[in-house]
Amino acid sequence: MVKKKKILKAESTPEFKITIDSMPEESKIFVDKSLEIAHYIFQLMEQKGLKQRDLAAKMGKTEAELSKILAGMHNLTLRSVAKLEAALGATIICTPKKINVAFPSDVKTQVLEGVKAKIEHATHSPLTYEAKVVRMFSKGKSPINSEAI
Amino acid sequence: MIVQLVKIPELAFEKVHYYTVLFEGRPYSEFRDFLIRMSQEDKDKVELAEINRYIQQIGIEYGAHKEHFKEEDAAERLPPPYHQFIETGDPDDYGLRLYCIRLTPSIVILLNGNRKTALKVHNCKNCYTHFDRARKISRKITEAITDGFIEIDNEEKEIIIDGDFEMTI
Repeated sequence: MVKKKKILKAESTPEFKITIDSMPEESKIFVDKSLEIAHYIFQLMEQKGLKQRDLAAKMGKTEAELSKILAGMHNLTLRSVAKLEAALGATIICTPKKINVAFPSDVKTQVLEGVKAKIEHATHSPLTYEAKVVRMFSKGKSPINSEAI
Repeated sequence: MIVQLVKIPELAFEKVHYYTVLFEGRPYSEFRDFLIRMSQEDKDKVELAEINRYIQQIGIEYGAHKEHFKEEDAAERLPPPYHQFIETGDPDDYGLRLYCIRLTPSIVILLNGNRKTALKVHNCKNCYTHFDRARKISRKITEAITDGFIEIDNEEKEIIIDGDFEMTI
């Protein structure tokens, strides 16, 4: 048990924010998507009680091969994504069309509202192409091949 | 060498509070030294920014779960094990490494690093010192927790240190 608490020094790191603010948008998206996909895969594995070796067996791969996929040593091909989705019984990469079909309407509305808010925040305009797509989804219409946009 | 734990106020996020260390006699903390050194060359800048973005997003959105950190002996490193390093064409370039200590999913100590130039860290003249210090500090902190000189407050994401405790490596 700590008897007398030491006050820790603090140091500012202004360089941290500068590097992020000046990084290419592509790099930000790359990091954000890497985190999002990895987090989701590990979350699914945990929910389903799967260890890496179990998932490898379900995908017909060795644990070493799966480890390389998860370790970013191989680019995640669409075929690998398909094998992962089949083994996990869940969708990892989702297109707007898929959101329209695969999710119950309450979940879909929540997702779309979140996307809509982000687009509006980013563009300060609710009338962009993306916002119109979101609005059509939220009304239960598919914008694919639609001339209304 | 006396080592002091240091808070990084801008990196106290909702899910993770980040700390660093200051070696006695040095002008900057280890993480600040890493930021300054890796900001000098264009080659390093983009990778540094990507590591920083991981730190930020893990802090804000995900928490410091083990899958986001690569274990390296008694310490860890960033970028995460699933990060896809864009090869530069140089077979001896393995990208930047930032060594750190993931104490809990809400407390991480960011240390120092460099560009890794050999497959095994033991053979990398750039990284070995940083890696070696990271694992030594990690062991010292584990010992101090066991001996009651350091406590972890996960709710406040705070490292509590006894006033009489001095860490040396």
